[in-house]
Amino acid sequence: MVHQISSGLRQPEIAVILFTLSYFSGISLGYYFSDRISFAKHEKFFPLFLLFQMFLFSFVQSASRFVYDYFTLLANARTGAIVSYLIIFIVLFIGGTSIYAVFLPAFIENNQNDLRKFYSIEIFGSIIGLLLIVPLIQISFLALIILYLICYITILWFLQIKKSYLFFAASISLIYVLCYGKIDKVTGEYFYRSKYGSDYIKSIIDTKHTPYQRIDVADIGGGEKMLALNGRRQFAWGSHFNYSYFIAEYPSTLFENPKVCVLGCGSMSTVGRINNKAKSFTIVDIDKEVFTISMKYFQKYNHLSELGNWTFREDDAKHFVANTDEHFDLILHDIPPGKSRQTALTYTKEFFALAKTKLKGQGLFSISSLTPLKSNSNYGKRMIATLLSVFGNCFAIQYKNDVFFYGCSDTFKLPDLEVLRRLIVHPSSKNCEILTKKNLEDRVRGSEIITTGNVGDLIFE
Amino acid sequence: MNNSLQLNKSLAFLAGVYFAFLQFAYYFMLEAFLTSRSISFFIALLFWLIGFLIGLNIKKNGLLITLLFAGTITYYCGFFLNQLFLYNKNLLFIISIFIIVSGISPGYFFSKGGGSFAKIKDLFFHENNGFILGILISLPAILFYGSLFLKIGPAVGFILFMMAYYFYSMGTPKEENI
Repeated sequence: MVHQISSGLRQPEIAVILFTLSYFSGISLGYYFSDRISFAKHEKFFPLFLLFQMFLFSFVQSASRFVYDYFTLLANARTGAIVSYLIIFIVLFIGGTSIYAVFLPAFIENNQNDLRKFYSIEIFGSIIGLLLIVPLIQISFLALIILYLICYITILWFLQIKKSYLFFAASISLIYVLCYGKIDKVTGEYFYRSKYGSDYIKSIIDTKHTPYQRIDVADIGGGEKMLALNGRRQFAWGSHFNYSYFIAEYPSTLFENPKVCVLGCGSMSTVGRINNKAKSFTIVDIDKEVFTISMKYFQKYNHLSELGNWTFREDDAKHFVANTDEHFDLILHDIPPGKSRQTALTYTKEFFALAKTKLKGQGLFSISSLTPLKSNSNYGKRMIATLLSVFGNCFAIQYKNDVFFYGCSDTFKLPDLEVLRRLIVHPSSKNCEILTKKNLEDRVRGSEIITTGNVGDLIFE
Repeated sequence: MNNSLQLNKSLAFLAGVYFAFLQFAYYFMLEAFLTSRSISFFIALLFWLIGFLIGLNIKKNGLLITLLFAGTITYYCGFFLNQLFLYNKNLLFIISIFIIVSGISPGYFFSKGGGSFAKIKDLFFHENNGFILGILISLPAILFYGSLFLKIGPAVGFILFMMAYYFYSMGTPKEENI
C-alpha cells in the first residue's frame, strides 16, 4: 500500500511518513474508543465499519492517484499536494488500523486484565504475519492481498457477525481478487496518461510489485516501451539516447576494453550502448525484478541475451561496493534520482568515496547530475559539490541542461581538454561544453555537500 | 487530577517517544550502514517483536530500568560495531541479538505498567501517542540530521524517560513503582 500511495503522491518519503503516522494515529484512535464501543450493544457497528475498512483497503491504493491529480489540478500544486496528503491521512487514520486497535484493550479488560496473555497472542500473530509476508511477496503481490483478505474474513467470522454480512464481505473479497489485475491496469493507465499524456501512453503491459517498488512497463506505440519505477519514468527511448551516450559510451572511449560495473540496472541501455567495447560487465541492482523485466522487454536496448560477458548481482549498491574484491576501469552510476532514502544514500559523500576505492589505478566513475546546474533547484549543484569533495581529479560535460560528471582515480592521467572534446562523437557535439574542476567549483560554490546525515536535503530539493 | 496518575501518563508517553527513537534508529542504522535490502527492515522488526514477546512474559518485578539501560547500551554496541565494520553482513546476526535485547524493555514496560492505570487502554493510548511523537521527530531527523540522530537519538530518549521516571518515583510509594 505504501508503494501504491507513494506513486500516487509522487513523493516516496512523504508517503512513508504519512502512512506511518496514519497507521499509529489510527491505533491511538482505536485505543481511545476501545471502552466506548460495546461489543454487545454495537452489533451493527463492527460489521459496517469493517466493510467500510475493506472498501478503503480495496480502493484507497488506486484512489490516491485520483485524489492527488484532482487536488493538484484544482488548486496550485503545493496546496493541492497538501490537501491530498491530508485526505489520505484522514482516510487511513480512520479506516486503517483504528478498528483493530479497539480489540486488544477491550479483550484485556473483559478478561481480568490479563494483558500478558492477550498482548502476547497479538505479538505472536504479528511475528507469524511478518514471517509470511517475506515468502508471499516473492510469489506475488496478489498472494499478499489474498492473505490479507483471508485474515479479514476470519476476523469477521470470529466476531460472529450476521451471516449475510459475512457472505457479502467474502463475495466482495473474491470479486476484488478476481478483478485485481484489471482494476490495477485501469487505474495505472489513468495515472500514466494523466502524467505523460493520453497520446503517449497506449497501455500498461506489465506490472510487478516488489518490496522496493512498483514496476510498470507501458506501451508507448511504435513498438517502443517505457519503464517506470514507483510511477516515475525511468526509461523511454528518446531522451535516453543522450543519457546513455554520455554516461556510458563517451567515458568508455577512454579505455581499450574496460571492466565495467553498472550500479542500478533500469533498462540497462547503458550496457547495450557499450556492449562491443567492454571486457566484462558486473550489473548490480537491489531489485532482481527490474533486471528480469528489462531482460524481457528491453532486449532491444541492452542486448544482454547476445552477450556472454556479464554477471548480475542482486545486492544493495553500497553493500556490493563495500564488499567486492574486484576493481573496475569504469563504474557507471545508473541509480534512479535520490528521491527516497534508499536511493539518496547512493548520492552521498560516503558512497562516492567508497566507489572511488573500487576504481583501478586508471579508473573512472561516471554519473549524471540529472538536473541543470542553472535552475531554481539545488539538486544538481549539491550533487556535483558532493562529487567534487571526493574526486579531486575530474571533469564534466555539459549537454543542454544535463551535466555528466567523470570522477577519476587519483593516478588517472587525463588527456588534455582538446582531446577530451575530440572524443565526443555525438550529433550535437558542438553544443557540448567541457567543464574543468575549476569551472565546476565556480558553478556550485556554496552548495551543501550531501552526506548520510542530510539526505533529506537532496530528497526534498 | 491525581498527580501520580498524571505522571504515569507522562511516563507512558515518554516511554513511547523513547521506543520510537530506538526502533527507528535501528532501522536507519541497518539501512545506511549495513544494507538497504528489505530483509534488514524485516529482520529488525521481527527481532524487535521477539524481544517484545520475551519482555511481556518476564515475571520478575523491578527490572524496567535495567532492561531500558541494556536496550540502549546494546543499540550503541551495534552502532559502534557497524561503524567499525561498515556493510559487513556478518554483523546482522549480532545486531539481531542486540535488537532482541532492546525489544525486551517495551514488552516488559507493558507487562508491568498495566497496573498503574485505572483502565488498561490508558497505558496503550498514552504510550502510542508518545510513539507517534517519536515518529514525528525521528523520521524527519533521520532525513535531515541522520548521523546526529543515530548518535544521540536513543540516548536522548532514554535520558528523558529516566528524568520523568525519577520525578515519578519521588512522588510515589516504592511498591507502586513499576
